Amino acid sequence: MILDSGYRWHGGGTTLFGVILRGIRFRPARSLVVFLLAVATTAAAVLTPAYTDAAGRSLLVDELTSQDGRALQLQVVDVRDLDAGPDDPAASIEAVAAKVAGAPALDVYTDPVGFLRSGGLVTGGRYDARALLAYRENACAHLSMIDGDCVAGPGEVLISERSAGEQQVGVGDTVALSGLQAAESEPVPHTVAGVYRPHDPEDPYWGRSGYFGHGTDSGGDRHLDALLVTDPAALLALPRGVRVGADYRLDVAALRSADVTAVREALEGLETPPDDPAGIALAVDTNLPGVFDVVADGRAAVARTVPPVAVPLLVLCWLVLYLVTTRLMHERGAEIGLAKLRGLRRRSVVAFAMGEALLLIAAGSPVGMGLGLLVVEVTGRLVLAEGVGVAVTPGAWWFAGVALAGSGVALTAAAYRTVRRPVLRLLRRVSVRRRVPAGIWEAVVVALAVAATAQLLTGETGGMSMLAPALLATVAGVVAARLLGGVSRLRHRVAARRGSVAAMLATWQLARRGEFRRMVALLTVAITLLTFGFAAWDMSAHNRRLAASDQVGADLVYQVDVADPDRLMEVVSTLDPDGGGLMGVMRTTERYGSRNFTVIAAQTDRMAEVMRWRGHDATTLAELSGRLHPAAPDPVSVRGSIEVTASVTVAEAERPLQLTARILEPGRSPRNVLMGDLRTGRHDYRVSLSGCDDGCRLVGIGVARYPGDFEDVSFAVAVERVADADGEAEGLLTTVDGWRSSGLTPRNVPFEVAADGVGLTMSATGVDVPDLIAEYVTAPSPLPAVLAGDAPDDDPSAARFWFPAPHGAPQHYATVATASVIPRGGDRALLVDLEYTDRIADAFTSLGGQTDIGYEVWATAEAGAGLPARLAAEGVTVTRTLDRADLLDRMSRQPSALALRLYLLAGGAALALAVGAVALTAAAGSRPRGYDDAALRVAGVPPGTLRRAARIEHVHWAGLSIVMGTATGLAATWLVVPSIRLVDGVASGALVEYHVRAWWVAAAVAVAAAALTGTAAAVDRWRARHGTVQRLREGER
Amino acid sequence: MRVTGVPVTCRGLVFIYRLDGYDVVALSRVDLDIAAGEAVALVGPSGSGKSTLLSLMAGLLRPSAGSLRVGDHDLSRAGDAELQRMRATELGVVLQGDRNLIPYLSALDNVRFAQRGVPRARRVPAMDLLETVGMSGAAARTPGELTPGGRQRLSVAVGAAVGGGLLLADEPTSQLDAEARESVVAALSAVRDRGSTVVVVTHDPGVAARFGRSVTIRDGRVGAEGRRGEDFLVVGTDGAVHLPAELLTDMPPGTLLRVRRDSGSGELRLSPAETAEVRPT
Repeated sequence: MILDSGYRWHGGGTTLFGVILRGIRFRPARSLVVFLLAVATTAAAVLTPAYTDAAGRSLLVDELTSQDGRALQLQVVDVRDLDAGPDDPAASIEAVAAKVAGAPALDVYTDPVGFLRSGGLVTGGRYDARALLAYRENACAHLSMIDGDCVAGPGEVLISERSAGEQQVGVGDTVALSGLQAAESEPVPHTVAGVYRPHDPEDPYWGRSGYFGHGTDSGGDRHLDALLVTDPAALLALPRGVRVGADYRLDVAALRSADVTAVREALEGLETPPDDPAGIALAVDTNLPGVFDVVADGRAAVARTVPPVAVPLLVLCWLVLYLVTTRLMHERGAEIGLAKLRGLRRRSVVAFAMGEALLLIAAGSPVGMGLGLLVVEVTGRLVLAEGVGVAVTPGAWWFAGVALAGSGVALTAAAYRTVRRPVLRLLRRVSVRRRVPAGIWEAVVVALAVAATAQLLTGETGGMSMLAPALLATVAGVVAARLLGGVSRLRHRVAARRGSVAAMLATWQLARRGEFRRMVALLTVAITLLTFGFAAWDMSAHNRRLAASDQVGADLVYQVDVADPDRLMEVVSTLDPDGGGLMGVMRTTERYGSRNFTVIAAQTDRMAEVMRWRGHDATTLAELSGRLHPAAPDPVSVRGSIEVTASVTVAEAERPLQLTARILEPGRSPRNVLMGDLRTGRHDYRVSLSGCDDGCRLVGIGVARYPGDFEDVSFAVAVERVADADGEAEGLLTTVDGWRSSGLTPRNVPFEVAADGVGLTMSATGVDVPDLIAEYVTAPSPLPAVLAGDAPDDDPSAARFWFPAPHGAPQHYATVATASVIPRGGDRALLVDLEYTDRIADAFTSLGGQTDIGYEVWATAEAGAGLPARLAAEGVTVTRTLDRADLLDRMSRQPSALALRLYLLAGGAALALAVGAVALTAAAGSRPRGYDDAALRVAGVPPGTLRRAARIEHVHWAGLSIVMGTATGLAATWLVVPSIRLVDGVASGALVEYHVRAWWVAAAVAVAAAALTGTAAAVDRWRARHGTVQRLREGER
Repeated sequence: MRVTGVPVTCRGLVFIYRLDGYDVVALSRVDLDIAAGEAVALVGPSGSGKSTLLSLMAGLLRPSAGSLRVGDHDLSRAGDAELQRMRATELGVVLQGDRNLIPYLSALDNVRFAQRGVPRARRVPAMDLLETVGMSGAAARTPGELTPGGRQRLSVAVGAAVGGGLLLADEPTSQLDAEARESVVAALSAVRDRGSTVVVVTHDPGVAARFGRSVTIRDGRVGAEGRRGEDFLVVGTDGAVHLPAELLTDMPPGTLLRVRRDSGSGELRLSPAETAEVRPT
């Protein structure tokens, strides 16, 4: 008994737990495999919630960081329609701020800036304009005073530098302000106390009110930058429409994914109706709820797409675990038989039978959970948004529990038949026939796969359809296993006829051993998933690159604040005189039908080097450039004065007609300059040109009517000579067809313009004839354009059509090429030449100051480096930067990419699992196979023949798996990919390219082949170790 | 610690192996009584049914017909639970070959493992059992570290671990050298000496001779019995008698025998009939 106690103490005793532990140690390889499978199963299960959660947070971070900082700001305004301004402005600001401070969830908003503002009409300058009159707390800290001091009390205002210049007012001048909401209010004079320049108009300090909107809006109204005051009481001068509020900045880092709902509810709760008993009516202005909606959609997309990947992986894990534990139970059959023979109770037998695997599974679960979380953490660091790591959510625990339960079920299923087997059968290791033929299960899988595929083909993307790849993979595995038997038997007959011993041995083993069929089925499933993962990921990556090019158009795009296209082209030419790295672009958008239609005007002579456009390389871009920018004469400049010699044969009108020149002074809109009454006969007409000492562009020559004359007119004029202060303008009248009727001419007016290379003739007759200009042609007409989508015309296929140009008037376009999409324009857009567009616009109006026109500098990666500083040196402010690489990076974290990345991971994991299972099967079979080999060697089969037979076996099972897996993977890709979103924001269809590049498939095959070659080599080594003659003496076991 | 031996009684015991498409009668109307505490060797040629009989006694097979009683248990009627209880408390089995031991447990733990079904209070100290079979010095060794004879002795100890009154051993001395065989027989004897009934299946006449009684099974029947070195024919319940194998060369199956009884001594005389006597006319 002393020994008993001592031994129990030192040796672990004979508790069932101790026996189980010794069993685990006795079978280290099997135990390790079961443990690793348990780890993999739990990791695969935890991956789903953890990855989905991390992806959701990544989406939130990406969405927040990609937003204009101002969009995320919160502005809370008291919108009560007060009869008078607030009695105590400071207290009113405090009251608004107190409302925000009262909502704890809104702690994410910081740096409040209280304000008072009112919209007003400014008169007394060069022209009437709208402007905000505003007080902002601590505004002077964000202003540079150009003139005067940063002090503006009642009756005083601070005006921006550019508005002061435009209005031609300065310190001490007076402007009048009247409230917009009180039309009857009398203008109140204000003295300009200072001229300011904001340090940074984009500074979050300035909030969401748009203080610096100097320019002309789409309705033609002119706007000034805000007129600022430093004393809130100054706003009380405007009796109505004064708003009190506060701007807040969002602390993005403080906003956690878990807080989203609370923040959303707090924002909703902040809004109070005008009749709120609290006496304050708050309106909330922020884009944050919209961002939350986008993120929620993305999360939902990930949540929809991830489970169809994770579930098959999890099921595969359980299946492999089932196979492995079945094998383990089979090997332990004699031990379990002994337990029953010794009369152990049923529960003890069950505990003894399942204990080892159960303990390993239980031990593997927390490790698997850790591994799953680690994978997500690493993935987060590598591919998700910065700072997004793994979080242990309740979902992760729940899924780990599901994995553990599923593993327990798999183990129970594996142990059930063994435990129920009679003792003698267990001790004799007699194989038991299956009660349910495998064909029934195979039929069930095929039926499910057919149902899922049918759902997919009919356009359904929910339900079983997303399981189609996994089900197809399973069917492929079943078919491959069946094929192996048939092919092997066929080849065996051929080998027998030829007398090839190696082939006979190999094909016989392949045909009779069930383990080969299981191996091929598993490997085919895994390789199918791997190929699908690779192919889908490649397609997604390719389409992301295309989408990035569509959205950005170049490596880098800088949105800039320039006066007009001329200035843009001038700056680009200065910074990149050779045209190898920069390109100026002007963008406008018009409504056509119910959708936007974008016109991209680019420096097409530079686009071959700069532009990134799907389906176009430098050569095609250069060719396209030539078609968009055909040769045209340069504009003619006149300096000081203009003199025209003209012969007039007809000049009939109630009041005298006048010869006129249309002149464009730099930076201003074109104007008609009258040169004198039109007189019959040959005469000289001359006029001095103010503002043209350095040259003005001569847009055209024409005939003007006397104002108020609405009677019939008729004229015929032949221009013979044009000169300025420097002399005759050469080449102006010698170009055939060098003149044409201006685009200003109504289409129903019979204005005849002819240029025969000697002179210019103009004639018109009619009643509704306005001032008519013959325009010197400096741009092709119609203007060549590349069209994406249908033509904006009644005939969608029209090759020529009229459409509003950036200057607002209809422009005649000719389609020289079509494209599925135009970079930065989308699939309904026109691409035209910027220089010609500008020349055409110059004849109508100045594009300077138009707020609906955007200017951009597109750059190559090399030329774009440090460009903002160089632009700043030229006086050009960069308002926004688009980086194609950054966009691609963000796109790689969008829901579709996040989900597809999991497909790739799942494929790799499936292959690793399958290879592990195959290696285990081979290791388990190496002893009997080695015994067979030993017997064959004794029977006289040379070792070389045995090695050849082994190679033939490998080629068959590995080759069949690879061929079937790859083919099925590609078929699944072809079937499934059109139904899944490859790139967010791009619907499946014309803009998505479904090409699988061969090298990606080759990569998948190479990965699989390498894994299988390694496995085969290991199998050979194990068999060789057991294939010695000595084994025959030891017996098979 | 002494135990009470368990008697075994077979009456008209039949067992049929039902195979795919055909049946094999392994035991045909076996009648056998084994008294409590008796040591019996079942001998006979391969395939005669002795291992089947042992499996039936162990409750591992169900009788096809007839009755089989082990102690108080009627094995032809016992349910799974009763059989489990019986194996846990009343009988131990030593299987043929190396299948009796769990390879990763020490000798001591193998014995203890076999006792897991026995109520704690009734368990025989495992070391006592090892001592009984002469293995106390190898308690900490695993089966792989023991000699073949040592493994078989350990198997005997494991078989006896439940402390029951019946030990069934199937070929416990096969493939052992003489010394090891002796040690195993000694171990079995030691178990019998503790009071257990011991039934051993063996091919080895020498081993069989070491037991007080040997029962010869031939063609699924009890053909003969040996007591104290002398063999006896056994008259079956149907009156059948199995002749010793050596007589069959002179009297092959189909031979007509004339039976005469000496009225004085009571001896029976069997004489083959002359061929002419039986030739049909």
